This record gives sequence, structure tokens and C-alpha cells, in this order.
Amino acid sequence: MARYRIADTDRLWSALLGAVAVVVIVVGLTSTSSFLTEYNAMLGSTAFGYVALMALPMTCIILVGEIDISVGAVMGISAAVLARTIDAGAPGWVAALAALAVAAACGALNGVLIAFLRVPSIVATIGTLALFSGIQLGLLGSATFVKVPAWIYQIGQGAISSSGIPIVLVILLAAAALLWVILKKLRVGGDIYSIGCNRMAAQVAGIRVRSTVFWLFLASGVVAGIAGLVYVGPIGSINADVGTNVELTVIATVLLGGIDVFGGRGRLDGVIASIIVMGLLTDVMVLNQLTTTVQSLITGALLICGVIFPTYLRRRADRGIKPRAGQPANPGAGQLPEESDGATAARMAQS
Amino acid sequence: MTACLRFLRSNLREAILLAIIIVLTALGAARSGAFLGAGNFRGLGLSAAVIFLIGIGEAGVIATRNIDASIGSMTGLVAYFSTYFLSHHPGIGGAGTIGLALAAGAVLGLVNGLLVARLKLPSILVTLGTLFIYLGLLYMIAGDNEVSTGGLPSSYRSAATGSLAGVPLICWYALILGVAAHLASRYTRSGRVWMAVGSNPAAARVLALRPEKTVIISYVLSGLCCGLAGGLWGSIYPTVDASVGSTVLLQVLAAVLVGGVSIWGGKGSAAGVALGSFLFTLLLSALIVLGVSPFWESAVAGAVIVITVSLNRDAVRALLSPVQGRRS
Repeated sequence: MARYRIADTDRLWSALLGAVAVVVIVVGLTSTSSFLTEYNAMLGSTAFGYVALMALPMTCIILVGEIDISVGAVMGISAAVLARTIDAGAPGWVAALAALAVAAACGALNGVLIAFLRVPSIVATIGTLALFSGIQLGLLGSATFVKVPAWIYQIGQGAISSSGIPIVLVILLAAAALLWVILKKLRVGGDIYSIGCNRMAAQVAGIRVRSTVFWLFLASGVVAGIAGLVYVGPIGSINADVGTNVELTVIATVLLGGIDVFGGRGRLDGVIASIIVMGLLTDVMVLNQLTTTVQSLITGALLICGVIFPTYLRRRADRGIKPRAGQPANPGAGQLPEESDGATAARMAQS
Repeated sequence: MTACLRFLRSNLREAILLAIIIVLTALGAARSGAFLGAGNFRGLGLSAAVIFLIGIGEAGVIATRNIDASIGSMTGLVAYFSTYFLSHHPGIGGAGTIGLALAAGAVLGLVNGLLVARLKLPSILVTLGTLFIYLGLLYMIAGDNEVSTGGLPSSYRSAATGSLAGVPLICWYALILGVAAHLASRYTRSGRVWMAVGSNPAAARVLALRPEKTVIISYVLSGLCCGLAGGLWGSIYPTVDASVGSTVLLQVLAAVLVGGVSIWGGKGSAAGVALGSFLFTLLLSALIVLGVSPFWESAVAGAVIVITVSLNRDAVRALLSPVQGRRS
């Protein structure tokens, strides 16, 4: 009985988000006349496409109970490498490969720190955030680079000929489908949920915890690098501000999608719904010409709401399950996710 | 002699930090004669004191196994708010401004503390959220404007930079705060409870030490520290605008982590934070003397954080432990 209740909470949240998506579309349609025209549909997806891309590996990382705060900086460093290599006279594809290689190296550094040196991902990625965005600033200084190859512009801004479907949307759908297969059909998807539920148990059960976590961070780095290229196209210029504060929107999107901050729980369809809501919201905010100030306020508030509401719903659902003897119902004030919490106790009780 | 060695061993990190500071100073002095000058040391002292004031609050939060990512925004918001208020109401004077700044900082810190401890949410996400909310508020108040502090009452302008025995006042504040933190963390019951909460929250709860209370207090104190630093900001620097505090988080984190405050909670010393703050300021200053572009400052802060956290004893032990290594 209890099991259905937990699943229902997660499903309920996804359905709720779907409803919100409808409301946002209605508000957008009524408040601005140009909403959802071809141009804005494209602008909307490109203005948010890079965030949506990074939200997918972030979903896995939060599912295993870690977090990657450095994604925005990796995105920035990849754009910076692209700009500098093109500036040095390299052809576009070499520059793009160099950017992706650096992004992969950044992801690998995160992975080594977190999986093998056991640095908590919060601190490790705050440190690498500073390191990567610092290198980005060091590479670019206060200069702005405007030489971007045409095909990168096409990826970010172009549409598949005549149909009007943005290329970013195609990439995004392919990535989402891939993630769905990974999470639902492949063994590693089950491993990801198991590690997030109970890392010790997963380790004892023979799941390769460390290498899974390492590869997830590496993947996050690579995807952030791709996101950097996607972002750079439509903007057409690269400076030290690329990627600043993007991680916040990415994390807010994932958490709002109902992925449990403590890991091990959450549905991909919730994240997809959340991507749609956040994308449309960004679109509405841009169309209504809200300043970045208000946008940062709203994102900050959404992040906190995205943590509070799903967590609250889950705790309510968990209350139906008796925690194991000796464990209080809701411990975990300000602890790291590794500590036992009500949800973990409940999950262990039901299995 | 043995007592001396024992002291050295129990304060190994502080000793190493001190050695690095001496080496860096010698390198800087060899490069440029002005490095050892009184003017440079006064500047170093001012910057290090600001980092220390914020860092000792952050260290308190990290010692409870949480983190406060909003320190930069809090400092910036308080700095602009207090100098802006003073420029419109010069009557409140220096002490009034600092009082206002402290009150504002305490309120901001309390919001963080209540969200983390009462709603039992992960501290990094809560404080990342409030980081941007506070930053949004700061931009709302400040916009593109700036307050130039030259026209503010002299009672305020000398609050940090006025000298006592040749040393800037803010260094005395830092010293007082540091000694108080050292004594409180080592020799009082609350200090021991604080460290216990950080090193094992579950055990602290079983012992009825009320970890939530400690966590809330740690955030309020962190807010107060940011309030003090923010309030004094305009007394040190010629202008205050919306960009104040944008580099604070990373610099303070680097200083605190270098100073030996463990990210696993329950460990850390005021002396370590002080040495960490000074070392970090010295490092930035030495880079300038060595001709490194200031654009690389943030990368250095990041490298310092990454290297320190990965050289941690726990991490090294984890890497060397054979059983865990074979498993995965």
C-alpha cells in the first residue's frame, strides 16, 4: 500500500507540472501577442535549450545523491576555449573538438575528486566552479570574441530545412530519449536509483558505485561543453559572462521536476515537464522584458520552492509508513544526503 | 623541547600555513622591495581582516556540517543598504550604521537558518537560492547606482580604517572576534556542543543536544559576520555598488578551507581561519607582484579550494584504503 502511495506522490507532481505548463502557455498567449509564433518558438527553445540539455545529466547526478554546481562554468570554459582556438587560427571543427575535450577533462576532474577522492560533491564542484570560471576569465579577460563558425550558429539557431523545427529541439529530444532508455531499460539506470537510495547497500550488492559516479560527472562535463557550443551560436559573441549562474537554473529545473534532493527518487517525465514549464517561463520573462534582476529573484525563489514542495509532499506520503524502531520520523536537519533520512528509512522498510 | 614538538604536532596545519606565509613573503620581498613596506602590509591587513570577519562566520556554519553560499550576497546587500541609508540619514552616525548593518545581517542569516534547520532542507540548495534572492534584492535597491563613501560622516569613515596603535581598527575587530571564537569553541560547553553537532549530527540528536538550534545560531552568526563586514565595507573602499561581494564567496571559502576547517564538519580553529585568510590575501598580492594578470585571481581561488579539499587527510585515506578500492 505504502509503495503505491509514494509512486502516486511522484506521479501527482508530474501531472501538476503538466497543468502548470498549460497555465503558463495561456498566460503567455494572453499577455503578449507574439507568443508562440514561429520566431518565438525558436527563440524560446534556444534561449532555454542549453539549460534543458544540461538538466538531463544533472537529473542522473542528483538521482545518485550528488550535485554538480560547476556546469555553468564548464559551459563557459568550453565557449572560451572555442573562442581562443578560433582566434588562434584553427578551423572551426578543431576548435569545437578542443572545447569538448576541455569540457570532458573538467568533468573528469570533478569525477576524480568526488568518486575517488571522496570530496563531497557540493564542495568539490564549488571549487571547480571557481577554478573553471576563473580559467575562463583568465583566457578571455575583458575581451569579446565574435568569430563563430557558421555551422555552430546553425546548431544553436537554425531549423531543419523548411519544416521550421529548431535543431536544438531535435538534439534535445534525442538526448531525452537516450536518457529514458538509460534510466528505464538499461541496467545502469537501476544502478543509478539504487546508489541514490542507499549507497552502502548498492556497494555491497556489487554495483560499481565509484565508476558510475565518475562517468556521470564526465558525461555532465561533456554535455555542458555541448551546451556551451549551443549557447554560443545564437548569441554570436563569447565573453567571460557566458555560463555565469546557469547552474542555478539547471538545478532548479531538475528539482522542480520532482527529483528528490536526497537522491534515489524522481521521474524523468517530471523533469521533462519542468523543462517545458521553465522554458516557457523564461520565454515569457524575456518577452515581457523583465530585467535579469527579477529573473534571478524568480529563479532563486523557484529553486527554494522546487526543494520545499516535492520534499514536503514526500514527507507527507512517508508519514503513512512507520519508520524503523529507534529512528525518528524526520531526522536530517541540515545534514548531508548520506545521513539517514525519513525517506531512506521508509524505502528500506518497504523492501 | 618535547613539549615544543608536541605543540607543533598538534598544530601542524597552522605551522605549515605559517611556513608558507613566510616563504611567500620572502619571495615577494625578493621580487619587489615595496612588498615589505608598511603601506602594503596595511592593505593586506585590511583585506585579510574582511575575509576573516566573514570567514569566521562561514567556518561556524561549515563546522556544523552545513554550508552558507549566500555570504557574498549578504555582504553586498548589507554594504549597499547601510551606506545608502547613511547617505540619506547622516544623523545616525557610524555606530548607528554598523548597528543597522548587524541587524540586517542577522535577519538575512536567520532566514537561511530557519529554512535549513526547520524545514530540514539541504543547506547548499537553500543558500544558493537565497544567494540569488538577496542578489536580486541588491540589484533592485542599487540598480546601476553607486554610493561614493567620501561624503559620508567621518565617524563612519574611520570605523574600519581609523588606527589604534598603528593598526587599522578592523584588524582589532577581527582579533577580538577571533579570540572570542577561539575561546568559545575550545573552552565553553556551547562550543563543544557545536563541534559535536558537526562531527556526528545523529549522535548529537540522540544526546539531546538539539542540533537544529545550533544550526540556526550558526547561520545567524554567519549573517551577523557578513553584516559587520558589509557595514564596514564602505569605510574601507571609496565606492559601494551592486558588485560588492561578488568575489567574497570563493575567496572566503578558499581561506576557510585552507585554514583547516573540515568540510566533514566538527573540525576547525579560529587561528587556522586567521592564517588561511592572511595566506590567501598574501597569495593574491604576491601574484600581482609576480606580474600575473588580475583576471587569473578567481582561477587561483578555485585552484586553492580544489587542491585543499583533495589533499584532505580523509580523502587521502579513502584513496589508500584497499578494501573500498577493490569494490568499485
